[in-house]
Amino acid sequence: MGKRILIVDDSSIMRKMIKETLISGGHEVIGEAKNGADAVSLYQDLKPDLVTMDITMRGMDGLAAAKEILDIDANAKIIFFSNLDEEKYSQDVKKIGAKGYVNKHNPDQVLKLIDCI
Amino acid sequence: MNKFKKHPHSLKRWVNVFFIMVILGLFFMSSYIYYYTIFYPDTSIQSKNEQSQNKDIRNIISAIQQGIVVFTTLILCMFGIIWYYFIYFILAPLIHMKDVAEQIGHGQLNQTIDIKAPLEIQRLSESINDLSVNLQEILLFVWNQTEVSLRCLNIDEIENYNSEKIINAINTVKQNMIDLQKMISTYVLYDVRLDHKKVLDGSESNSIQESIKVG
Repeated sequence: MGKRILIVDDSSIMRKMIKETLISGGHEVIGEAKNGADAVSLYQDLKPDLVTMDITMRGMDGLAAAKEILDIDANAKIIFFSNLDEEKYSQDVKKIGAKGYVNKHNPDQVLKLIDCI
Repeated sequence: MNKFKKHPHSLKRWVNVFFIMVILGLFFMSSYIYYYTIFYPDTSIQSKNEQSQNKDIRNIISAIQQGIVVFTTLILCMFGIIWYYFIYFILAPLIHMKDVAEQIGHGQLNQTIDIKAPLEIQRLSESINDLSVNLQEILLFVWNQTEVSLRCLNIDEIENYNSEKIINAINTVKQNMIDLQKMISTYVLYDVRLDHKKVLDGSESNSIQESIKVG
């Protein structure tokens, strides 16, 4: 069954591509945020089933935004997207309590991870 | 008009020249009027009757002089504030944006515009930052897709592949190429459009988005 998803990424091109990937996987994109502050605000308004969070954003990064969202709602489901090949942030992601961590350039892996949650 | 296109003028220089000329002009004009009224009328050659009549005129002139001082001070302060606002909240942010945009144009995508400015200029700076962010994402996407393809095409490994593995490797490379084209097709291009596998003249079609397909 499709999930209601909030996309958080500072690149409008990546938001568009992630949206196409999610829609092709049968999910519904209910909102898009271009920075951490907007992500927190939109989460409170929209209450999505899942949040896809870019880690490296200018200003408030994804890790800080995820912490704030989890402070508001401990049951929030957040998966992190990264450009990196190395798993630099995997420990931080686990500590925060996010549900997963995936390379954003691999649509198959993205959809697989979302289906597992 | 063509002369201005070839040699654009410096906004900073013209703004400074304008405000200096206005402030100096106001100052000298007020000073001239003020000092001109000091010597009117010349009481040394008048009779006592004339002097008492001129006392009222002197009072009026004195009031005018005070008004000139107050008015000139207020106007000079106002122009000073406008000048300061223009230099620090409009010109300085624009110059900073110009410098960062030049660096981004030279490939330094790690530069970000961070300014406090009026709404329109703030929005312009955010748009330039968005361009830089998008360009970085595209480059990283291309890097990722080409890197995966290169791994598939590693000759040392391919030599040991069976036919099924070779087919899988070819399909992976093909999918990466398709994904790259999908990313490019999200852009609306200048004077060209992408239609299936061809790059066509964009001026023939107004509905560019409908023509973009990736096959």
